[in-house]
Amino acid sequence: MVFFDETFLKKLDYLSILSKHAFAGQVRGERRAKKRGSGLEFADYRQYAAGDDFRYLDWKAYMRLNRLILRLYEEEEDLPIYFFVDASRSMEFGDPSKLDYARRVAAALCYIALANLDRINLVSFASKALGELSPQRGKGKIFKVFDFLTGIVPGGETDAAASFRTYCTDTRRRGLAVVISDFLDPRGFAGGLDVLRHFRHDVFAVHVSSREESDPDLQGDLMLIDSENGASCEIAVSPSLLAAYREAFQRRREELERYCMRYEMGYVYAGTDFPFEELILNVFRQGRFLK
Amino acid sequence: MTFLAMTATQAIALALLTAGAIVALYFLKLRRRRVLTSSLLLWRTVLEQRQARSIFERLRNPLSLILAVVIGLLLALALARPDVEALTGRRKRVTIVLDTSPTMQVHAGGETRWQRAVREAVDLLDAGGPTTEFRLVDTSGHTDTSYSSDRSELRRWLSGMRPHAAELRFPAVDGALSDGPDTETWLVSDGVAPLTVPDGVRRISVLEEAPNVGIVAFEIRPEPSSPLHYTAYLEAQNYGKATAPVKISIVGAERSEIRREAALPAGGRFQEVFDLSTFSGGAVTATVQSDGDAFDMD
Repeated sequence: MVFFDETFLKKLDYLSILSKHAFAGQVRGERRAKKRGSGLEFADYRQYAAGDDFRYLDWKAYMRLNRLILRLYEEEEDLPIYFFVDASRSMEFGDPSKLDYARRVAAALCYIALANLDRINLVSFASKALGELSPQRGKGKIFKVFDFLTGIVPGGETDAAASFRTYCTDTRRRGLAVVISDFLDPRGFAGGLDVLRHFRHDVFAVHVSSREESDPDLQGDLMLIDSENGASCEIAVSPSLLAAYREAFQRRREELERYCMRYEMGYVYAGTDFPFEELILNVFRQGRFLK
Repeated sequence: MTFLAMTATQAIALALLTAGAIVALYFLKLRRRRVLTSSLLLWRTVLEQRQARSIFERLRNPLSLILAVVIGLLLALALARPDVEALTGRRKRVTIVLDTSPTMQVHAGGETRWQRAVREAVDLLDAGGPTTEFRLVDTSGHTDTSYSSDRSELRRWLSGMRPHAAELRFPAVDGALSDGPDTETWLVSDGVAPLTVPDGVRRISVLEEAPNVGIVAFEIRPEPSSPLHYTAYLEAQNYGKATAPVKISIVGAERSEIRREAALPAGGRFQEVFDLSTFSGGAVTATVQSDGDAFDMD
């Protein structure tokens, strides 16, 4: 699968992922960390204490004040970013499929993160965490990301809460959690996001949807089959029913957006018929996820 | 309610069978087109909202079943031909006896008595309700149909009936007279023929006054004094209201003929004994001719 061309890749080099909060990283990176350390940016002074590194003593201050004072610098660390890609059966729908679109979005964001020396974790989930790409860092690991994304096989019902709870309990460090999903969770979209919020991740929701969902082209008496659980529902499609459906879809999208805003989570709506490059280069930047 | 095409039990069985078949078909109706969709989450929400909002939506499924059953039952009932007195009128059996005596051929008022009799019979057919059955009988014994409510068939029978010069007898309609208020017998006649009409028979007269000069007596006999010498007595009467010029002729074999002309006043009689000594034997025929005579057979 070709995710994007070289020209687009070059445009991605100029972008970086924004995080509202500073998180503790593992290795030196390009993110300002909470702790004081050995970065280049001066942060503060403090009294010397036994055991402090002599190299950070401010000798000029000692000469003036006859006291041992330590110069503190901001520690620059990497940012842990978790990408949760919905791989439930419902993501197969659309042309291009929602999953393909989600793969491309994830690939672009991963590339941006890797280019900025952030540490990425990729997780595919449905009713549970289906697969995980171990933490990757550095541009050179983008091919592992591509391989992982290409290998995602859709299946199962969505249960984001259970998937995230299992994953976050096993892990891990707090960081930025990007959920790329259609949020068609029978238990509601809030459950999964709440889990991430409660584990104190900085959450960003990418709501992927196909035109078949937002504006279905159906007519006649039909039996609709749910792709995830096989449940069926008989409907007689009429213009008024379709209008009601479109209204319900729009209402649900707005509910999700309002929910994200209320809990300071980022939200971007990504219709599969929306130009992908414009989504990454403009929409994500306007959504203050990229700069 | 009675059923004309089947018994009540059969009709009920048919109705039950129809209703059962419709209900079965309703639940085994053709499978809808199956469409795989990503999720029913939103569809269910929309349907629930619409059902909760609209009484019609809630009642739509049972209503369509009820409508289908009602339509099916109505069709089944139509096959059973229900006879509801309030809707179809009282069920009756009517016997129409038509007088087919020769005098029914008299012309009066631009039509013959027979034509008028047929018209009266058609009026009787039209006046009957859909469940009224008719029987057509004539007095000459040529026509006697069974009871039928098929009007077109009865009209065909009527158009095939004619007056006959045959022995006249009022037909046997005893059953039709004694069945009670649901039976009627009508006699359509000019009242000329000497029929013995039972009590209870209703009459429709087609008699209309018409100018007629007719032979009322004609007899040939030998003279007592000379047995080989024959005389004929002929008597004719003018039944019209005006004086009628008449031509009387007595014709025998080998062109032997006696002619008379007279003007008969209204109600006047012509009486004469004719000497037939010039006749050489054979059949003798007497005729009376009058202009505008309503009954040509004289």
